[in-house]
Amino acid sequence: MSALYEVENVSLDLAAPSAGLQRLLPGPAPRMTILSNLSLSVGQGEMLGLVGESGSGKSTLARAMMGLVKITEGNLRFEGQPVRSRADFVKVRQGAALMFQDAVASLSPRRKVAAQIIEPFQINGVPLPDGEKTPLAMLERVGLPPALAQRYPHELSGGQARRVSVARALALKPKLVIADEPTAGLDVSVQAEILNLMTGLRRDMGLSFLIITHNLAVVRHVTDRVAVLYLGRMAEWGPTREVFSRPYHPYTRSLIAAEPQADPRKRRADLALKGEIPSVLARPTGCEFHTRCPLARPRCASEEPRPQMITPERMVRCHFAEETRIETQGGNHGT
Amino acid sequence: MASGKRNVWRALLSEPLGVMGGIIVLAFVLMALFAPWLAPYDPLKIDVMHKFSAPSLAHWAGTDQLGRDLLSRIIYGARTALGVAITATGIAGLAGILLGLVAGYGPRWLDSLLILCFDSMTSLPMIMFALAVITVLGPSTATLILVIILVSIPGYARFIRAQTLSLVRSDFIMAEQAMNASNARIILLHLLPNVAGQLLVVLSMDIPVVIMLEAGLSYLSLGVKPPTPSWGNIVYDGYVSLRQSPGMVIIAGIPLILATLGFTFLGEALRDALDPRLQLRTLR
Amino acid sequence: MSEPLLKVDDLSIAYASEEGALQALRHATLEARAGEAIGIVGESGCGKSTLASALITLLARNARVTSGGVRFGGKDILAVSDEEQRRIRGRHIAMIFQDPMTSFNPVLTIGEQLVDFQDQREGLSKSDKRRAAAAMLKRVGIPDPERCLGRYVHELSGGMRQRAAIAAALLMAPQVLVADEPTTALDVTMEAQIIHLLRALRQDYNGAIVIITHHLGLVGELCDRVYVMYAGEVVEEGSTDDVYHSPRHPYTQALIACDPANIHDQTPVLPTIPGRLPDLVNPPQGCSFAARCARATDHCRSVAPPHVEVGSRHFARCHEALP
Repeated sequence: MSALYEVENVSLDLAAPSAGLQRLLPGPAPRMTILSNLSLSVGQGEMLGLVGESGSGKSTLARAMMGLVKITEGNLRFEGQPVRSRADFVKVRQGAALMFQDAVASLSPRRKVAAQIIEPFQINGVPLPDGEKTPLAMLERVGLPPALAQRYPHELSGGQARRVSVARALALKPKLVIADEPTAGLDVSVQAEILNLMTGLRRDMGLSFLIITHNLAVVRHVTDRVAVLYLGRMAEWGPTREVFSRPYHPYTRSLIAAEPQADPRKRRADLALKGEIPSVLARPTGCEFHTRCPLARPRCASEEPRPQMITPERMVRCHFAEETRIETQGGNHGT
Repeated sequence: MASGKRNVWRALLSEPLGVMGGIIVLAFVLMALFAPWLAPYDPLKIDVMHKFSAPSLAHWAGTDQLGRDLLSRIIYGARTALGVAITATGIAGLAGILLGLVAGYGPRWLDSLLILCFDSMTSLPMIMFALAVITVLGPSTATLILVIILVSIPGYARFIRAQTLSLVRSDFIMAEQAMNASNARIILLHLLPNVAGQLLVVLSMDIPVVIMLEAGLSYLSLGVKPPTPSWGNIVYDGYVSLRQSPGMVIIAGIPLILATLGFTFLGEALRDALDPRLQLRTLR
Repeated sequence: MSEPLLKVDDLSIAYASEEGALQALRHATLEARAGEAIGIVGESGCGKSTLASALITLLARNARVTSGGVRFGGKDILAVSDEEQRRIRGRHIAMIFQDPMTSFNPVLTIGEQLVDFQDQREGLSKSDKRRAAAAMLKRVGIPDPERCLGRYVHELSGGMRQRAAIAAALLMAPQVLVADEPTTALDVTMEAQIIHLLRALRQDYNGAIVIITHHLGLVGELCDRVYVMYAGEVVEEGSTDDVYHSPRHPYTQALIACDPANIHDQTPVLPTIPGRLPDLVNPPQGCSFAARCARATDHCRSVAPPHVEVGSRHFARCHEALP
């Protein structure tokens, strides 16, 4: 599988929203690291999942990939071409589309659906494929009735707005769709409908997807590979099936264990992951997960773990990955 | 499901005060438009034989110190009042929208520069500024409009800038950027419609302020030059003749009060009707 | 078995709308006993939000109770005076909302508000109330309660906010705690922590907990009994174990089947529930799920289904569920 969008050693710093007076003091302004030395690649026709808690930098990465926020360091490559200048991003935005977490809010509040859905064509100077009927054809493709074309965004249900944003994302026949929490806030049956729509499009059009979510159930079902992000750094990545059946990073294991079970017989008494994700302003030293890690040892607080390739397809950043590996293979962590 | 625009109308019509405001405003607008047909006399025709006459069948609102028909002067005065107010707030509003959008969406340095200009404008006392401009250009209706435009722009621009800033980081603007939309497109198609409605409310509530300002400056002989009828001039005449005809000031004040109430009610109803949260309430 | 603490009895609520009366809740009957946690699950439009607003007597202005009521402490709390409703709310029946931001005033500190919430508690000095507030914050797992008292709601993280909201709700030791989507706005890890907390609180809380959610996992983790709602009706009720392991209503079966959390293997197509909710202005004559039900017969479409006891305290509103 050749790479479609590559993210290589990307870092993103922002000026800290420090108290105003601090800025008057000499010395460099305090900065916070949102993404740190992050690498990831989405293959042609692949569905890649990106998981992590809020505050892990998932959405920021998506925005950086579309050029909505500037990266501080690193390289981006789309279809093998480096992406740096504005003109490069213009090309990226024609070949990749971003779906926002809040679908209703991502639609302009005072314009009708019909007018918004054809914007990608108008903006990029592409003639409407079906002339005047284009909006209706687009709605039909995502399973929406034509009457919706005359509605305003606030008149749509969550599921309908999500479909409209899928339709708009697909307008220019992109190669990649970046979907930020595509199922957040939807009813269970509607979640399944949206996921089916996405997997169907991938099958029929050969689309690649980057699905950003904290919902592990979604990732488990639709993605080929999954990358786990913690505080702006990659903790682990690999084929979805393998990561779920044998997670190496303690964070991945905790995330999987934290998932609520829709089965009263499988209730857990213990708590998989205590505490909260630390603030980017107070990034822990060493391994950033050591403050919450059930396996943390003194070395974790002082030394940053290096990425280890367990197999060519699996990466983990943990000092004790070898140990957890033996443990999980001997244990019964499979699903 | 009803469209957004129809909802605004319905919400507007469901507000009794708003309907009342609308009727008053409409009446004044008609009065101004059809003044030559509505006014029983020529507002400038002097008839010293009948000066200071009390309201009668011949002169419904009485006459002034020169025997001019007050009702006719008030009707023609509506032309001046509304003409000045609508022209001035209209132009100031347009300029405010433009500058506010540029400040809110444009680069940081441009924003800082514009804010500096607005702040230095607003730090000048309005009357002093008006006096300075009028001294240079001489009192006339055009000067009056210019003064009002200049002193109103910073407020409108700041208002639009604040609205714009609250929208710039919103998802739908980012979604536009992610589709390669140009700045002009984002400003005109997506920011403008979302900020203009709110400004319309501010403008309609400001029109009575401008009418009063015009009246005030005309009263100080800095605005509309006599004998052109203006509500300010009529009040001035009434004030000067307070001893001979005490009722004149009151009669001259009535249109001012009515216009203020009308535009304020309309503005408030418009604000409620345009507020999406309040709209939801009426829809539920 | 103890008497129910709270009983929703044949409650129907309709909203005035332009098209006519929207029957959001139709003849819902459910009960919560002391020491019990019940779950109310359903998708948007099932009437669970209307039910939640009825439980805390905060019905929308255009809502009208068309039958039944909510019995608590020997009274129908929807029929008593506003004054009495206010007294019951917060003191006896407290609510945790989906967005904890809405539970707090943004310009007052958490401490000031937690002290204020105790104003019905007489004979307690302000410092006593503050101590009680700190103790409650500690109990819900806020690490530094004294510091938290001096903070504003926006200074807390999402998880901490929800903990503080739970503390606020429990402060007056209410007999009924209603939680409306308490974890929907949170991450998996924070959700697990809140579930853990609510479960721990149950140990020494002897009131009733009512969890209202669209999330089957939450109910599975927390509740003893579950009520499944569809189109304004309770379509199935029973112990969580019975309902999750042997669902009898086709809607419950479909809902459980299409929850991605229940499917462990990768599947090309996830199950869905085809069709839409019925029009609640003119609810169908027969079973409200008939239009979307694979097993529906003409009988289902024309005759309202009976309330069938399919097991011990396990009921389903379905013709096909007849024993």
